[in-house]
Amino acid sequence: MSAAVPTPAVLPEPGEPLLRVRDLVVEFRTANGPLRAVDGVSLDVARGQRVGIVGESGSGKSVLSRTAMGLLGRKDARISGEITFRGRDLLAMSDKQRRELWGREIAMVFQDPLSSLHPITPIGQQIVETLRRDPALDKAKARARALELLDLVGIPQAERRFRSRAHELSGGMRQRVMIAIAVANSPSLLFADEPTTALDVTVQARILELFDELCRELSIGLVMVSHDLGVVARHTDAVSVMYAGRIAEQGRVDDVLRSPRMRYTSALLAAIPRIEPGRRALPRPIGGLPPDLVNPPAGCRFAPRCAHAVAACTDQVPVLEPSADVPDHAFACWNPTEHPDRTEVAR
Amino acid sequence: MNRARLLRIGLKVLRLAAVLLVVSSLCFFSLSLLPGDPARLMLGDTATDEAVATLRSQLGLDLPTMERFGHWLGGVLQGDLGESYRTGQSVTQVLAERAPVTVELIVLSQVIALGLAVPAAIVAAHRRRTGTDRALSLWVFTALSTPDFVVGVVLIWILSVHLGWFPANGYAPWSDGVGPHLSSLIMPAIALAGTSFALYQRVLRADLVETLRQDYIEVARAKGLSLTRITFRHALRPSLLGLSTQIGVTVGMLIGSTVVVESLFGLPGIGDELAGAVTARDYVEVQGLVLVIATCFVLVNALVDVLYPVIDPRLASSRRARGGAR
Repeated sequence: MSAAVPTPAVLPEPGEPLLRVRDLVVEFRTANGPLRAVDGVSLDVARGQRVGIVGESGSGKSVLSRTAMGLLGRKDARISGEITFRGRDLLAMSDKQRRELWGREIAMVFQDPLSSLHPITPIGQQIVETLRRDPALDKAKARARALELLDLVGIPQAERRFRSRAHELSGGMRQRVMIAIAVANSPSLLFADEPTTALDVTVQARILELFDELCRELSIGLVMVSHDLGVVARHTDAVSVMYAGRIAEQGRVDDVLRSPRMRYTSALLAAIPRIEPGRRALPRPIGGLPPDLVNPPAGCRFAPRCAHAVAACTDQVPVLEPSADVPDHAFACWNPTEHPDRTEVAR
Repeated sequence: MNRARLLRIGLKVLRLAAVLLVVSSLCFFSLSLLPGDPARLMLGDTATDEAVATLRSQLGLDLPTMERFGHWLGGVLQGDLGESYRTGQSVTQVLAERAPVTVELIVLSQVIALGLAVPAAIVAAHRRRTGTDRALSLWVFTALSTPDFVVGVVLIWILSVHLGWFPANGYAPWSDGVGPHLSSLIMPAIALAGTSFALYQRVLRADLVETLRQDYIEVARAKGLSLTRITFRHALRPSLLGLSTQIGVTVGMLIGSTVVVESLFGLPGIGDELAGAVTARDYVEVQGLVLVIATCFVLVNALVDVLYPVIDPRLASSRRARGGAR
């Protein structure tokens, strides 16, 4: 790769990161011309690290995670850049090689657990099927292990639930089953695409705690895609804010969400309703719509919606650069928030 | 077995009986509207009017239509389908001799149709909108738009006349040996399978395309399962409802097609017999055959109905949830 590729701001622990994404571009052919869903994204995930990817719908976060996992490949889109998993080039792998990784080394928890579970096959069988990717596990052992997994993700009466079908479980139970499937073979990297969006708030909290536990105990690297800043603030270590296919801001979750520099991040934070004693600020929604990715605006893609845009914003692309005082906090903004007001995210 | 379930089964049986009654009466009265007189046809043009009148009264043809229907229906309820005007053979016996040939022909044709349609649908669904899919579509629409007898004639011309692999005509019973028996059925079965193959491929391909778009298929992929396993263990079963409905409808249709195919290949089945009976205005025999055919059609579709919740257990629980008075 050329030297111009920026190093992501969040540096993992010393040694090879689990997942390394460099200057990733994903382009789809559409009737109106090529659509760049992901445009020059770099990202690192270390073992045991929880990385959040935040953005509005259509910001490219789901495409990013699917491409990083290899589910979206060169057959589906034009992809350039570099994705390495444990030092191996994921984009250069054959379908078969990638399939070897899926379900064993890399796994994903999807957004809607009802449509993600097979409608007919009993859930126990769906876990066993994943476990049996390991040829050493016979049927009886896989079954016993599946029961353990159901127990691990907090499903009571595992023995009875084993034979249940997806439609017989509650939303939270279904997502627990999906998590059991994802962690069945103790993967080192786990993607979670809006894992709690389809769930109600109390269930959401318990599922997120489960993720925290699994990352801690199994030292899984987690990539959590979400549009919910509160979720990301409480349950990740590092965060990348995406806007229109690009990384707007990247860094430790405390730095990024407490003292955002890029205007889009601060606008996102200001849009969250908040109730605090002594300070009642109404949420300020971001006006306008995300840009058309087939014909994106020149310069900063957020500029047309930004209240603080200056002349440079509309004609030059801002570069993602580390901030002067916090080197692992990077942002791409021509007119950043100079004196961050230490915005409190509901913790 | 609880009362609701018994009630449901009872209602179903009643409904089946009603269907059969309607079919029988429609058939009976439309036959009586046809011009032509069985007695005249049996005795030939040279017979005297008196001889014809005598035979008519022997056969009970001089009675009013309503009364004849009553007699016939009374017999049917006691398990007596009556006797053929032409041969005097009881219709039950005709059925016992001829039904096995037709049933075997239909089963064989369905095995061929499904054996081709399922793989063709799977390949087409996985490669939709590619050259392979279009080539399969072309084959399917050709099969759909070619009449059975044309396929039959072409098969006879190539496989019998030119290659001499199979006999062009005639039926060899099981007692002649398995080889000759199957040889005498294979061409008619292929001719009969064309339309079913086409319909099954279309229906299953459409359902599979829909299933392959589902989230759980992406999940199966993300589990690292092979394409074969995803296809057969994840995609196929949820895609079978349309196909089973289609099989039920098609099997009914096939009984009609056997009339042409059995005549073409000289097979002693029900279709062939029915054609003869209609020509001779053998009312009683036509009635009996139609009743049996209708019963088979209704039973096949009832079976498909019963199979739905086996294929997709969600249907069983939604039926339970509705209180199940269906």
